[in-house]
Amino acid sequence: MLTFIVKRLVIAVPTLLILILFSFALMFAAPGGPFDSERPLPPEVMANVLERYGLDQPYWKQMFDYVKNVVFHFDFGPSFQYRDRTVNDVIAQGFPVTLTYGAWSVLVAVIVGVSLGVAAALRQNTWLDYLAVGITIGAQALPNFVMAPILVLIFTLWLGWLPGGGWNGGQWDHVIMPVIALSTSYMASIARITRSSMLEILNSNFIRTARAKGLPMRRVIWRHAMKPAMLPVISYVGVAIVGIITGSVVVDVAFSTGGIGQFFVNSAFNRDYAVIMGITVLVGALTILFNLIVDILYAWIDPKIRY
Amino acid sequence: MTQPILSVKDLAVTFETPDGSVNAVKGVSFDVAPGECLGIVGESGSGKSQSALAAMQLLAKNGAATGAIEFAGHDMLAMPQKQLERIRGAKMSMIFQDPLTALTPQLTVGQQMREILEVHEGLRGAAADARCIEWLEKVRIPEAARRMRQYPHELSGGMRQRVMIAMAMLCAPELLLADEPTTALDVTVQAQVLELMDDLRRETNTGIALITHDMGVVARMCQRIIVMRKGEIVEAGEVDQIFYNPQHEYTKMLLASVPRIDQVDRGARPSIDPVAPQDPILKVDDLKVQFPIRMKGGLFGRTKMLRAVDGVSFDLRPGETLGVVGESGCGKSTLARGVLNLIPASHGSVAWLGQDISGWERGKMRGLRKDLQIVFQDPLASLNPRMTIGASIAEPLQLHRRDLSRAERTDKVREMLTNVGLDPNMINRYPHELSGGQNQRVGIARAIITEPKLVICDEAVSALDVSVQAQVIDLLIELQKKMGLTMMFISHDLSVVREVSHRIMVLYLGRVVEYADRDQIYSNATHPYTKALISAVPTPDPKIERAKTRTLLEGDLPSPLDTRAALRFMPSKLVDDPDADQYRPKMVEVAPNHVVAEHDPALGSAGLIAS
Repeated sequence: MLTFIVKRLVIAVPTLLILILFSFALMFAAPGGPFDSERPLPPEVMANVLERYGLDQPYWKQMFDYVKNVVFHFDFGPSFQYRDRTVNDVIAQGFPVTLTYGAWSVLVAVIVGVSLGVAAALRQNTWLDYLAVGITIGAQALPNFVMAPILVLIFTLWLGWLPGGGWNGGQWDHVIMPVIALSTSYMASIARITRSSMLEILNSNFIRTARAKGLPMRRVIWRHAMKPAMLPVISYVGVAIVGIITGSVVVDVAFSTGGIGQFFVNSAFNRDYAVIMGITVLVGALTILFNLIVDILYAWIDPKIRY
Repeated sequence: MTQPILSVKDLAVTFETPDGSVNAVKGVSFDVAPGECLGIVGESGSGKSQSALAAMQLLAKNGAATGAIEFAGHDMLAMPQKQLERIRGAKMSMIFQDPLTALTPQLTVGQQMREILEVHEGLRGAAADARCIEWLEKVRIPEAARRMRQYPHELSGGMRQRVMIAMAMLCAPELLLADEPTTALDVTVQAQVLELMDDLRRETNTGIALITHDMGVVARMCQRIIVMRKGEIVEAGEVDQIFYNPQHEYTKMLLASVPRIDQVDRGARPSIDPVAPQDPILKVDDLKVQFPIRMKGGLFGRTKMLRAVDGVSFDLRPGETLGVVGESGCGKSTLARGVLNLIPASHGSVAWLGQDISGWERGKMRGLRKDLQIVFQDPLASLNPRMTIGASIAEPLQLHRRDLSRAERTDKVREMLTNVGLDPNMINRYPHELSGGQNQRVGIARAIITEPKLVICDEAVSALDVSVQAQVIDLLIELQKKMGLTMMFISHDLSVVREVSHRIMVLYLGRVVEYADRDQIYSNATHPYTKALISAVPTPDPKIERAKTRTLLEGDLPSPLDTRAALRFMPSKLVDDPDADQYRPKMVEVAPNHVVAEHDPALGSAGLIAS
């Protein structure tokens, strides 16, 4: 197990390097630059600015310097659009926000989704099952960018219960709507996966054996059915976490929470290469980390998988 | 008769399906007495398993049972859930057919055993462990304490089935329902498990209801029998009466269909013709097939060679059938694929009509495929579900007989359907619309439509019911006579092999241990492994079964990765190192056409050393 984790972490290094090189190449391929505007700057000023940010260098050199700074100093460089801040500052400000409601979203999606799925499977073909299936189909059809304005319309404009945006230090009433918008469709998918995998497990031979042993139904479900039924759910949660991270871009903008997603979008508009790169690397690293965690969880539940 | 422990009266089981209700069991009555073994016999779909599940109240959700089921004076059908849970697993327990899927894969053997004691007797901790280990030892599981911490997938099939039995016996039940408990096991393991169940019945006076399709197993185990067909009992009685004086036509047919290891006579059914002495058309010399297996160890692991087929030689004359027998993992199927060049051989030669074809590439082999065909084990899985059977059968013609027009192809397919005993009007049916036996006939039709010279049957009848099995074997023998087919008949079932083969080769872990004419093998087996295999097969004759002394093999088939395993019958030459190069027993010709591998003297065997 330990060799497996070490191996995966070692492989993560070239993966991130390739990610950096690829994003860098993409940005250079795109026309325009961070300081181009409708009224061009005087040539001397432009040369000055470019020199300050190292943009006058050939781009292999820029790439090399960037990687060197990231690897040896953990320094993502200065931001181009926020003149007095570094990328590290931007991430330090925005990431905790995204992390807070992102983590809540994952928790809500998993807990509500699994409970709903298990309940539907245990009461298959009853009103509860039909209700759960109906809810999940509806929820799956609502992507976060549709959910967000609908929520604002209902809870802010009509009912006036919740603020329509802002963060306010992460007070609960500011967190609720981003979490609902972000988690609903993943919750629905998790519920559906849980339901079908639970139904399959409940029909399997080893559940029949467990019942033939005279175990109470509660014990059969918790001890014998739950673990194997969770296997497909866990592999989906890996995908869902990545989706939630990228989905935060939309939610940040829709609710003006000030998370990294908002910075990401602004930077893309303003060609702030440094911030885009910094956030890309961060999200890439998180994706690798969560995939590793999912694989470890998988091995913990399924004894046939031994690394 | 003493008071029965289980009494079933007019039991009917109905399943509600989208296509209407299905009556799986229609008014069945039987009793099981303490210390008695009742055999419930029938072919697939006879309702035998559903009767047992109804007794345990374990029917699928859409199933409903009516009638009366009385267990130790309690009405099982009207029993509340709580009371049912107290009886299940404690007073009445069940062993299921497939040991691979019947244990929870995520829990250790110990966890799954202890919870029974916890629920039924409130026993936990060391006391529970001690009782579990005691039972694991009783079912002869070596290193019981270590097994408690293992997961089901770490045990072999036979071992898992023994864990199932230990689990069922933990609370000393009064009734044991065993649903095809040995069907998925090799014969030698089956013999061990049956012996164990018989001993337990005698020691604990537990009543057993043994559900099986195997008449041999019934003859070995049971005092009384009920024969079921399509949800009804067609005949019931004492074991001797059923076997020696069957009344119902179906019982007679069932008994006549069972292949018997102790006789060649097939009554009115077709039997093989002798082979004319001719030059062989297939000559296999020292064939080896190896697979690299990744092992644990170091950062990148290491590889070890698995010798699936390890130096097999034989030849086949035109019109001859070679039976290849051995237990699972002995390399039978790999040998078939190696001979047909479907997997590359790592050593040795395969000469077809005098030409060495080993190592030929695909394109070059394609021309030969017309003459070399194979029939697979699982008929449904080996046919494309989206193609009609007519299209499946015609496919080889499209490749090998380009000269035929579409209409001529269809005619040939229809003719072939008649040949294998199917209605030519079925040509547009799909595999799922056919029964297992019909699908296997389609598989045979597909294999022989190109008029091949050699057909390899890889466990071709193993998945079929006995009566269907008998029909398919008859068909193969008739086709051989008509078309002069040469066959390799691969099976784990020694009695089936006896019916179709001229010569028989016994494989053990990829090597030949005995190779002889058919009657030589059965009347004069020399190698201790052959002897054990033959003695392990139960004969469908209760008197012979009672009189039989068994030479049981101890334990499981060892891992083929361990080079020591191959010397199981010759421990005198063993080097005690799992990776060492071991001595290779030589083949000795003990009589004309009878070759046996060297072995040490063992129980009932004199031993054989090459001079």
